[in-house]
Amino acid sequence: MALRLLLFLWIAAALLAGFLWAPLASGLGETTRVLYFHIPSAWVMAVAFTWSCAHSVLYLARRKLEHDDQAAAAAELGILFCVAAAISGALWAKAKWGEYWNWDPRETTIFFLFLIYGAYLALRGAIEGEEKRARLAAVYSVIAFVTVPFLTFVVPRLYSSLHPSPIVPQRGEQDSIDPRIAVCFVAMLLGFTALFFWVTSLRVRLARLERRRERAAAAAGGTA
Amino acid sequence: MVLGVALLVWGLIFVYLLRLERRVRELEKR
Repeated sequence: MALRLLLFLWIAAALLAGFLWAPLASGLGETTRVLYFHIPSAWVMAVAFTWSCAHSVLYLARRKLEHDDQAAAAAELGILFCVAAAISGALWAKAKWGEYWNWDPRETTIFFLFLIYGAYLALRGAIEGEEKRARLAAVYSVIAFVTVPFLTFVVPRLYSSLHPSPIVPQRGEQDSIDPRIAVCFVAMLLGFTALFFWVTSLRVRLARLERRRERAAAAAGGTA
Repeated sequence: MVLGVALLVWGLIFVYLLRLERRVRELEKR
């Protein structure tokens, strides 16, 4: 409980600091605030899909349904944070570019990721039998993950984009961001990551309960 | 305004997650 309260206060404090203490970044103006939601959301999306892939590999190696639960929960949350990143990015785009959606390379690749992992959930929903579903979903998840670094890091750099390139300053770069912005940004990044792992653990526990209930119902049906 | 909405939304999400966790714990004990 103490950890949960700490997380609540951590994110609330980061929000307050981001709005009241940190200055606005030059060139971004008021849209700097979007940075505290948009980049952590995109970061957690990448963490979630990586977590999903890692547990899919573990499932294929060990055949324990616990890993399948983790992979599914992470993929679901990855999609949720993908949508959060897309919405916050669209709000930023409206303020800076005048349109919510421009099919910019970044917007296009995040849309592809949404479709790829949406198909993962559709695949899970279409297969009967937990072992078969877990096996096929794990194979799909591993293949789908190949596209994540490609769509996140490679494609946006291959094509010219209006999206601001590295917000986080490169080593030795003169025009670095204000340290107060960096503090709020890193605090939100850590807070969102902790939130992801908390919600993933809740989703996994729910999946375990659902399985227990289904097995109890099947056993009751078998004895009737 | 935006800060207020952000804090309110975060508070609601947090309370929802706490209630969900409590319910999950109850179901796990059964």
